[in-house]
Amino acid sequence: MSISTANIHPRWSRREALQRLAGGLGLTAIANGATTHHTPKAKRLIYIVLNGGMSQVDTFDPKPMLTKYNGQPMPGGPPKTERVTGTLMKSPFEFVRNSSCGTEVSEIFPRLSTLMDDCCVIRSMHTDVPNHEPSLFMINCGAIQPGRPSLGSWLMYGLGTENKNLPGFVVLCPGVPVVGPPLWSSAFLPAVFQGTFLKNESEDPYKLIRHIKPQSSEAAQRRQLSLLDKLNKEHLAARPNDTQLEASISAMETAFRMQTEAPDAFDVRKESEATRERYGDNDFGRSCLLARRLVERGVRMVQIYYGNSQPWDNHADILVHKRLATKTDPGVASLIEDLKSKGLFEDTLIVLGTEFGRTPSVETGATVNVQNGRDHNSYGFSVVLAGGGIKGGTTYGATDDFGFRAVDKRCYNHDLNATILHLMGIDHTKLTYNYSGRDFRLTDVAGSVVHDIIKP
Amino acid sequence: MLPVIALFSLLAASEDEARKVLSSRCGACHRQDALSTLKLDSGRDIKPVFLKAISGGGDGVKSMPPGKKLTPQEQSALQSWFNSGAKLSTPHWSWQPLKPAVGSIDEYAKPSGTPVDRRTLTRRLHFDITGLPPTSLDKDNSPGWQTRLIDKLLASPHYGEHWGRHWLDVARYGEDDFSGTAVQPYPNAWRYRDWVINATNRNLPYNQFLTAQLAADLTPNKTELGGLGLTGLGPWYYGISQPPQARADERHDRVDMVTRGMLGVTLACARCHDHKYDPFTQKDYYALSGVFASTAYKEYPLVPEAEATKWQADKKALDEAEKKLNKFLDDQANRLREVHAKDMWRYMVATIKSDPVDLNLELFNRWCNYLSRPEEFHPYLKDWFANPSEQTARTFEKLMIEISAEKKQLDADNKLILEAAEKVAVKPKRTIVLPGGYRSEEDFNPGADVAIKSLPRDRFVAYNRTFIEGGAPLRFPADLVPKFLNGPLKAEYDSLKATRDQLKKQLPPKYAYIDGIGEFEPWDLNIDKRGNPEDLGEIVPRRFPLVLSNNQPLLFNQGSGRLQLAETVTNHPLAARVAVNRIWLHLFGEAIVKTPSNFGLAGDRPTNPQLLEYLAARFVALNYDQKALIKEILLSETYQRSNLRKRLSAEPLRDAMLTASGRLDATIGGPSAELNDKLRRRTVYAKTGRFEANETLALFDVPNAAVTCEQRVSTNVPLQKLFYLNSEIIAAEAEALGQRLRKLGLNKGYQLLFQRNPTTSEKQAAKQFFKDGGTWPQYAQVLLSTNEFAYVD
Repeated sequence: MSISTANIHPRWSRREALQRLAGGLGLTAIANGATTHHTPKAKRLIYIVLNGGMSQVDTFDPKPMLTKYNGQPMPGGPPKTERVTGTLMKSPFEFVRNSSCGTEVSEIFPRLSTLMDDCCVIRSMHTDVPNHEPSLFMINCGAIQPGRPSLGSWLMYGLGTENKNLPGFVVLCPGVPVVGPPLWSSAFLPAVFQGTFLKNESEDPYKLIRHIKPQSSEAAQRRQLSLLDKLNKEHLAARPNDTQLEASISAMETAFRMQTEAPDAFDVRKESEATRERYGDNDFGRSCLLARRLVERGVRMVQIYYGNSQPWDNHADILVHKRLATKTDPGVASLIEDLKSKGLFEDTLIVLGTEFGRTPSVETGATVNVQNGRDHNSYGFSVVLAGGGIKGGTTYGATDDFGFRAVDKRCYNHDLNATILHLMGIDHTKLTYNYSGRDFRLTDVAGSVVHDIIKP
Repeated sequence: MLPVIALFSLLAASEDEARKVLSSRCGACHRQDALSTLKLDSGRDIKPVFLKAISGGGDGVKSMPPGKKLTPQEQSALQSWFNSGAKLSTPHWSWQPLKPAVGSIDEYAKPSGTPVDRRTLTRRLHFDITGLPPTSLDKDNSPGWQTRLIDKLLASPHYGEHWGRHWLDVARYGEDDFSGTAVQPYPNAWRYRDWVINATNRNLPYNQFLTAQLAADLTPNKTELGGLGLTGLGPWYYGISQPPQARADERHDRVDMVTRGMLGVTLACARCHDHKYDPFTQKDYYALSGVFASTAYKEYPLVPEAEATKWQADKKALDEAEKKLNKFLDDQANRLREVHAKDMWRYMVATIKSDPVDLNLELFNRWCNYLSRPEEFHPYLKDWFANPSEQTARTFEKLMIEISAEKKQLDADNKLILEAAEKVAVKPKRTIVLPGGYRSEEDFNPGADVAIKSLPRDRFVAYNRTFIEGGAPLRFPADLVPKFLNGPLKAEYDSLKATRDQLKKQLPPKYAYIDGIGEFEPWDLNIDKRGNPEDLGEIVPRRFPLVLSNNQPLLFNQGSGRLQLAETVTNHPLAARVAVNRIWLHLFGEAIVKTPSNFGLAGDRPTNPQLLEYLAARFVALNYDQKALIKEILLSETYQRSNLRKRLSAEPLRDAMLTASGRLDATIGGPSAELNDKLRRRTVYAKTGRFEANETLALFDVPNAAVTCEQRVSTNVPLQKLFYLNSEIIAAEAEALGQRLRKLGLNKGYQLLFQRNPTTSEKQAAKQFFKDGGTWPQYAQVLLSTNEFAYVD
């Protein structure tokens, strides 16, 4: 079975895809390498979005020249971004080398900086528009406007799920990120492929997942299901060979089992105090811990938004990044450590990303009340990748001397998505869906896999 | 007959294949307009040259295309097309004029199988016409009962609810949008939904139905303004992206809605480049898009003009009173800050002994709270925390007063800077007003591009922490200021507040209105090069796509051109073909053209071209009478015989549950309500979010309301079954149905749900269920969850 759907009627591709969901072919098929285009390096994806726009020059892209020329005008004039910015502003944070590879990381990530031997930093990311909404659409859906399926939906469509008792694409946020539901929408792909969004302010799994709490005793449910089975089988006997009716019967059996498995998976309270402490006893730490529990159980993709709205959007004061990183660092570091100790690191891809970067120059427009922050920057930003076939201890590409524009080995958002799909065993040019008269794909008509960051 | 059809499809297939190769491999240089005029079959014998070129070149003939050679499959596609005459001139099948309807549905559809029994047909008719189940079989079973039942059901107002909902999928009907920062609700959206239901029930001819939605405001009697919600309700993209992009995206939606939704044409593909398959150029796209650039959102009040004007005036008065009050409170807060900055040190010293002495208690408590957390970042308070004393307090106070003065000066300077900038700012080309009075101009984020001065960061933080942010000791929010006022100031506040309160009390909820569209300044668009609205190409006059008007420019130049567009669309044979194909889809679960919004080259060809042609021509002959056409199909042997099985979509599924439980409130029309276990109305009246779809409806495949929906998919997943197991909705209906069944007993219960008696084994299973301790509501829940309930034969 090939996952290419070019020139196949949508009905067939849908049916095929749905069989994967309903029939639970995912795991075996992946294990046999049958439904992917090539052997995947990663089977699962955890995509962390530091929403609002993480500043590269204060986190993963150290710029000595920026420090040297602090307070001076940027050569060639201030960059044209969303708002007006003034002179160059050095990072208030020190950069440290705490891993043997020597990759420099800002002091605001003390634990993550010790794990850089496992990480690759792409320092040459760039995107199209210095506004949150289009850029969030771009990283998630591969287009700046609404109406395209999200990365997770494409993965569900292409690969299905490994665990049919759990949703395959889970989105976590303690609140709602800017733009909201369209970011995990299946758009024109079948609605089942959309992300399951959990506003994880609560720890109680019964409050997180709809309809999961059994409304009657197990004995009563079993009695009902046995009756239902009899009635359905009698109905089916008069209508032989109807796969829809058969699928409906088996879906009910699965749902019954989900009632036990899903609440357990989503309950971070089952972790020890020590573990929860290590991740950080806050909403972001809990998201990371929950992500680990879910990928352990075969959830295909977990996406974590750092927080409500856009916490990393620090126009006025870049020092806020430090407060945000204090929560980010333990969660991400513990996630990497635990995946390694559980033997899941090698085939779980972790992306620590953001919708765009920030300017090296200080924002001075009338929309800020103090000038210690940075404006949006679509010309250059950083993304960290780990696990799932990523060559650790490396950096890739570079921005200019001040960290404004990606100049060396430029990596477009489509390149990143093409690489993510590649690691998951998918050729991004072949995962297509025929809609509105043409074949659509996540990477539109662009994207090249960045082979340099992939382990041989 | 058969060989001719076979030959036809062979030729068609060879042309399709060739066109695909030409578009994908040759189109980059031989663009769409060149392609359509490619005359390979004229004059000179170019056959050898052509065949040489596509197979690698040689003998002075260049290999085509330059670069990567054609694959053997591609070469053979071009060869066989070339050998069969190399025709590209024939208009694509779906654009050809309709021929008169001759024959009958059954003649072309060739029914097979045996007629279905009365019970099955009755259930099928009920669900297909009204989306509701029967609760018993009619007594009338004399010959002709089918016709009488069909007439009865078509006359039922529930017909419009069911078939209206079919159209609402195409119309991407939603009741809100995303403004870029928040949900933008359309509280009157349901009026468009009701207009659709009502127009369907009135059997407004389909051509008038479409015209009303495109241009009701331009028709002579303007009686169908409710239809304008098709565009009036968006989607509008507000501030999601920069205005040129957001406005272009909105026009894109309208082009897509009209062309795919009404004509089965994928013109939207030609936004960034010429269409890759069909002969549409980028010019065609912008020529049509211009019609919507010449159209604007318009609110149509449903109350007398005077009433609407009065409401708006009252609202304005309230807004002004509110503004005055806020300005007053703001000024007073500034004054109070200055006053109490001067006794800052006293409060600080008082906190040492926790004794407010004669100071204001409220402010004292806030100072205590503020100074109780030395671990937080307080620039300039280090000395105080090291040594709390009058001296360190006075030093801090002095500094804060100095910073305040500096801030005041900066604010004054910045005001001048902004005023000066505003004077020289580029004036927007034109202002576009969206729903809710949202104004879209070219100057996105005003002020963001004007550099101003600010306090250094630490001074700002100190200022902010002392005077501005939540918890700041000298913050004077609006609810606190009045407590510090007395004398004439208090009187002034009371008067301002009384005026505001009075106006607020007097203002009734906003009057009812229709979200519609109206004429705007006629505006021919530039081509957006590569789809980029900030990189403009040549201007194209507003007109219909050339190939759909026999390559004669059909200009849309009266006003916006919307009425001309509506007339052109409704008279085009594509409109009828697309409409009848959708009707067939809803009745048979499978369309004749399996890509109902794409009748172009990349879409499917009809599985039964003669049937489609017959239905389309018949529809036109019936003057676009939808009920009449549906009736003819329902009376055909094809419909009454076919071995059909359809799964109920979300709305009829839930509606059937409410019918079974006896809880259905069958009222027609009215405002939408949240879909939950309390809602007893039909599902079509549930709130339809565009920003966030209702989770239950999305779970059962109700399409996303952001784009026009080609056809629903039907998924079958465990999460749906969790709904049957544990949802509040199922619990409510099972409880009510359980009570009902307890009274009715099994036989009558089965009659109610399925119009048949239970079989012996079904009875036995039920008996066993109750013997094992099962309850009636639990039994009812099982019946509602059966495949027989969800799948209609």
